[in-house]
Amino acid sequence: MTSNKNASANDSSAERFYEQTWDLQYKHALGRTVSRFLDGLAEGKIWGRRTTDGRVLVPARSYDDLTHEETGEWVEVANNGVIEMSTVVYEAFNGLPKPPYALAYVMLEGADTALVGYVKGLDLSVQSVAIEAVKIGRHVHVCFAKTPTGTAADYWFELEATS
Amino acid sequence: MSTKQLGIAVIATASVEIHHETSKSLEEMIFETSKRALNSLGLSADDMDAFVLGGNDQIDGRIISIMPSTGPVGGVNHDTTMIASSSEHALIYGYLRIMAGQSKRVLVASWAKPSESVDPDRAELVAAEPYLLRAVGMNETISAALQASRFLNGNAVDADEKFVAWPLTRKDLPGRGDSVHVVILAQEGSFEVGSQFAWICDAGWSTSSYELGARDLADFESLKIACNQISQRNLDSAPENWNAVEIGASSEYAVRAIHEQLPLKADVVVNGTGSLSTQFTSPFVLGLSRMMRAIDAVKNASTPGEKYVAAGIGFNGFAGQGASVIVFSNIKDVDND
Repeated sequence: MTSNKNASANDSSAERFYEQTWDLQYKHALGRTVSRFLDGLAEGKIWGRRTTDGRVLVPARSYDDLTHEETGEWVEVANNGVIEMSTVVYEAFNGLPKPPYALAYVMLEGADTALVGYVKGLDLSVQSVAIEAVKIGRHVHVCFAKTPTGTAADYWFELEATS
Repeated sequence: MSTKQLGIAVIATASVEIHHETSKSLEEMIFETSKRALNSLGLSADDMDAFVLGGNDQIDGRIISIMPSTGPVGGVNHDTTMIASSSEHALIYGYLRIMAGQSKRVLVASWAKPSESVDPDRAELVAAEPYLLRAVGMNETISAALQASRFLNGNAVDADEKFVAWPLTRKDLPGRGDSVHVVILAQEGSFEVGSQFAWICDAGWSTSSYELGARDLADFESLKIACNQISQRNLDSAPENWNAVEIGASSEYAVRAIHEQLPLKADVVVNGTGSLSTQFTSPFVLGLSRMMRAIDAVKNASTPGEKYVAAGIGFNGFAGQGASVIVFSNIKDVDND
């Protein structure tokens, strides 16, 4: 923790602040299911898990929060799908990419839940063009990082050429 | 929850909403607002049976904030508990305490002081699950924008607008600022009938899946379940009978969609106290602040003998994962007599 007293030397009644930065680190256990999902990204595969009522959850989850049952069979879904919802972010949020950037939830073929990811390869310089490009219903495919990091940053979406 | 045996009323409220409070600590803001509510009744902390606190630790930077906040609300040496999920859940919990017969007077206090976070947007990222969503990046504004994209239905948005996150502009989003809200609830018999601000007629709440990709964000499933809970118990408090509703949603798009989707009267007043952007608030307290406005609507619009019903709606979680509805009226339900 670091701290810094910030006050006016001349006025003891001035507004004073106590600024702190906490450097806390966490080491989250991924569990086997999320681990395999992330391993799949390095192999160019998107894995889902089938629920007891037959739906395929993507990203793969070890349990289904709708039925409150464990998921079972691993299902590799297609690397292409359709945008279900989207946004183009124009204001900066610390900790997130420098704007503008596009984000979408995509229903991949064979999946019953949509996967979130960045939509890249777009010309975001013209607002109207960017917005049109990521509209709901656009067809996209998944791209994978050549050098996987073992995180969700290992995939993103790009528009299908015909979209 | 029906109030068939117990009449429960709001007997005092106090709020402060300010863009950026730099001259007072959060604890001083909580103390002053709590004292104002108690003083308005001529009561002290010792007259309360219980204190329910609601705070958002990640934004305020006070982890397990019941510890520093018990003193400012008056909860030292009293029954004090804390709700971390949302401000409106704190109000519901206070209501349940009285319904359960555990308390006769409860002080509920909730707050958020995002100005104390040097980077509240970054602090919001901690709300995302750490494995996938946090790695991509998600916060209240982005999830609200994703949800809003579901409401467009092919309708064009002026592409020349200055978007925060398309399709949302600053005026579509709740304002941000520092706020403290205090509500004192009481069971009938522990206050002078006629002095109450509003009776609580009913309340419902529900939670949908955390996974945004597993929900249709255009369908307010949790809100509809919460409303159905009320309708099935108490038709007088159902949405069809609301005169006004104050909706603390993540964007004006969501407010409009809720207006369209709930079975409301044609002349219902929706967010009559002002748009989301005009309010100094924070996602954690937005719901309770709108419920305070619903209480005010009952208090101010009442004509003696004429029933007036106003509901407050609050959400918690990204893009309205959880929803809470509390229905207030100037007249206690007939069934409660």
